[in-house]
Amino acid sequence: MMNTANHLTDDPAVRLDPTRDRGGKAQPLLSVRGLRKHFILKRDGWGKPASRVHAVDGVDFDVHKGETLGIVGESGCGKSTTARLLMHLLAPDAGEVIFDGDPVGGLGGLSLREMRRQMQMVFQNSYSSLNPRMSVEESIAFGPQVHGLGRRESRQRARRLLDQVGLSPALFANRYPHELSGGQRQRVNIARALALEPRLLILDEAVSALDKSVEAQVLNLLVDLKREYGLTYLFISHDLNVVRYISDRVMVMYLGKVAEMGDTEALYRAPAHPYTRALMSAMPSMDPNRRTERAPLVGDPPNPIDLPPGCRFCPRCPLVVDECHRREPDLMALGDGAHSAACLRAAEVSGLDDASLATSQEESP
Amino acid sequence: MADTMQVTPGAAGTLPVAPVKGYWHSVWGRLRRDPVAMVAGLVLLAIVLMAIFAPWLAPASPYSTSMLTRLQPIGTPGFPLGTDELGRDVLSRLIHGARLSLLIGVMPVVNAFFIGSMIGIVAGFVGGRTNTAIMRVIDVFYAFPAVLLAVALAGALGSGLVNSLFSLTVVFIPPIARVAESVTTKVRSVDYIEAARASGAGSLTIIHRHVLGNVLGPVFVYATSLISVSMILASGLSFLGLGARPPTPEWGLMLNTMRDAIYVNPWVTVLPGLMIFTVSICFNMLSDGLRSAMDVK
Amino acid sequence: MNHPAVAGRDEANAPQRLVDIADLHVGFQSPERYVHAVNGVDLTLERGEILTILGESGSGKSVTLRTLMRLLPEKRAHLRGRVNVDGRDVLAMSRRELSRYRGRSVAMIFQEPMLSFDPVFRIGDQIAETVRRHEGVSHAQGLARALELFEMVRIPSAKRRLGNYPHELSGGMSQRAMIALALSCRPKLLLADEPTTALDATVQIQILLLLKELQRELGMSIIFVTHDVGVANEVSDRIVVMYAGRIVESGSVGEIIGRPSHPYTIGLMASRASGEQRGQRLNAIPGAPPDLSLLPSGCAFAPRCPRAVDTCRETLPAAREVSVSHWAACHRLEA
Repeated sequence: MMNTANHLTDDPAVRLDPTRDRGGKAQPLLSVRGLRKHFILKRDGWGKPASRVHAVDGVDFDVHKGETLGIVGESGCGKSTTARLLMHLLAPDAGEVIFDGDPVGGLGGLSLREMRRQMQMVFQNSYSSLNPRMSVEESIAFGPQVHGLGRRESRQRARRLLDQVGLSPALFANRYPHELSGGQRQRVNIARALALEPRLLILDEAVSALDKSVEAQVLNLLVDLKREYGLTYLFISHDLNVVRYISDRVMVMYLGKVAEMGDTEALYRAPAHPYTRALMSAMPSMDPNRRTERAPLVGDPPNPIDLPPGCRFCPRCPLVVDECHRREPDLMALGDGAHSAACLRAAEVSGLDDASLATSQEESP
Repeated sequence: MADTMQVTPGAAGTLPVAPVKGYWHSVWGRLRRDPVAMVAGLVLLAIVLMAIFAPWLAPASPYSTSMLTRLQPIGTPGFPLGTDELGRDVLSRLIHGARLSLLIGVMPVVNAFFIGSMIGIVAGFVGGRTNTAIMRVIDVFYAFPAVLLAVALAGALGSGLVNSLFSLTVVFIPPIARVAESVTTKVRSVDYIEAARASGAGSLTIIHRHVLGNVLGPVFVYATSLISVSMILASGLSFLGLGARPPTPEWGLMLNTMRDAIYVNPWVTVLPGLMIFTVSICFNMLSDGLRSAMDVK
Repeated sequence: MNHPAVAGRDEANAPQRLVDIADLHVGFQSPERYVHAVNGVDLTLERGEILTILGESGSGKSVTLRTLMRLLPEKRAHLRGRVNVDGRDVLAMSRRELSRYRGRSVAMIFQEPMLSFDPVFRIGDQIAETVRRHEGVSHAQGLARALELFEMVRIPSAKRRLGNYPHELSGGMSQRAMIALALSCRPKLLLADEPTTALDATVQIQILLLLKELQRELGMSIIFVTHDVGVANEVSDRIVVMYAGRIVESGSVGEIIGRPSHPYTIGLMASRASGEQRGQRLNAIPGAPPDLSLLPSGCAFAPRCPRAVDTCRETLPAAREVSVSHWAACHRLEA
């Protein structure tokens, strides 16, 4: 899964900023190794953890320069926790984050402050992520001011960015968040994230709360901005359609682990993990003549608390074999290596059609 | 037709253009439309002006006694609101008394607002064990009934204006700190604080730019509602002889010294109490109005 | 015949329909402004039909649904028009009649199931209590009915789950429990206000299928409100599309999804992100929905519409037939 950069190196669309780029195109912009975060729910009488949530449980991935990596998964899969760990809004329990060759935090590496100039984030809730007492312009100018840009220059930059995200500065600069619609607020949040001129933008369910017609506008804006500034995106969403539209590569997470990862089209055409398959067939159909007749999975996604040994998807998996309960599968490459899945039966799964998957499934009580 | 549907820059901005105004401007706009709050505010303004211009407004000296004109009823020529047990003009004493009464009513709350908010914000923002430690200490003070604590402190320190100001301040720090702490804890976990942290801002900058503005508003509203309590407590301390000392004109003290005359001249005796009542209720109503005016959505 | 403007209002036929809404207007008064939430909605529902009201936020879809249950704040909401359910005038009902009507004729499920339950009582007892109050049976009989309901909504180990408190159930499970509560008094009409929006995809499809099965088993009617075209496609027999408080298009699922005619519906379908559009710009509908306190005099969609001409901005378009069961309110259907 680490040697997928090759297909990007020749891509003329990947534009590098010569003043800030360090390792060249082949070096991943972001490398994450063994990222882990457990939340402790209960402690025993000795203060030792008795029950813990495995929010992110050993995640490895690379984000290549100029690409959009989509992360999909259901609630509790750890996708938002991953975003917060990358921004160091939460302290990871273990793991390494390398930004363009430099380890983040620790001695001799990139400082958190410097990392935050390179990496910014847009949150899902457009309202709560803006300070209600600050005007739009002040909110956007805040970051540059923190990093030492003058008050006047910061405000000028804020106005320029407002224009960039499609909001007329004359009309919007002095407005307050409650005077804007959801789509307008999310544009402001995007402008705020861009104000530090980051190279990587993490979009955590950034369009999920918007109406569909507004969502399309914001997605177009994101595509334009990416081209304009040569950005790299980490796009987190539960919406498989949107992820498919915007991402170059996709990572599917389940209960704190990577279930599958690959180039978007390859992954959507031949998903190799039974969970990815289930997710896809759970998407509402857009064809009135081919409505879903049968739910691909029974029950709710479990909480990642005190997991049993073996594969985490076992209890819900239609293709489970004895081996699955004993051994936790690692992410293994399939075919050309750009596509990998954490399933013992991955090779079989990607060849299956939906019908055979459905018949092998039983209604569990 | 699909290709004619293009997003044009600025297309998102089709909301009707509303006049742009600041937050406090819009708060004032809403407050102005609240008749109760406005009347309360005007009454308070009048009383404050009366306190400031007391020497010019008062028809007589608040100190000049006259044994001949003791305990005159309301409407006596020369003494529109009658006289007290030493023959002093009650109207003049009420006007002069506003100065001290407002001072010892408002000052403790103002002091406690600054100290309490600081304690609460620090505790709420730092969180964890520091928060627990600070708030437990605060709770110990909070556990005492306010009146008892004020009387005990003022009694231990001895009577006098400064001591009563100090003891009242101590009384009001715990409730304000608790409110500030709970609001800060709530604000701290909101996304915009995370966003500010994500932009690399340090804790002090975040407190200064993002926390203060969102915490001090609600705490301020709460503090204004405490002014009425403070007025009454301060008057109580004076009444007990722990606050201002005779012959200083102060409403609580006036209530105390005239109480023997209640059977002789009930209406005159009630006047200082009426003033205390008016001022406290006006502060309460203004605080209520402010609360709803500051509530965006 | 679903199209009131074309088929006319056949009064003799009316009692047969379960729901008959005519020229419904709902406005909300606040100190600053008057919001026109629903502006002349005509809607009918046959018995045993699943109808979806599709629209974005501010389209008036939820307000229309709540009007059917008279759940709007009485003081602020101004209602005008006719709302008949099962032959009875909902807007004329007294408080007493309303409380009998709610639950027994019509029940509602919401996006947030937790709001339907009291957190301090066991779920089984709450359902039993509802049954007891409406049907005058004993608590034990109510509990038996609750168990029956839990099995009906396919809650595994139903008996044990009845003893759970609301917070002990997962998202999908509490959604099922809420459906059980709503069905406890055998309503003829179930109103569903975005019941699957907060759920994960794999759970959402289970709930959608469950609702369809229940509708078939119990023969009730469902009005489903959603903003998601895919969800509408999965559940409905018929779809009406709302925009700015008006129905702009109505037709069978196949007609709305397959051959959308109103420019707004077309725009909505075209703006959906999908794999086919990778690398292309999405055909987003420009602009934003109108301010409901300052509605334009003509078609409310005209400012965002690629086909709009002067007529659109001046006069309100009437419903025009596309096929027998399919109509759209647009001046420029042929364009």
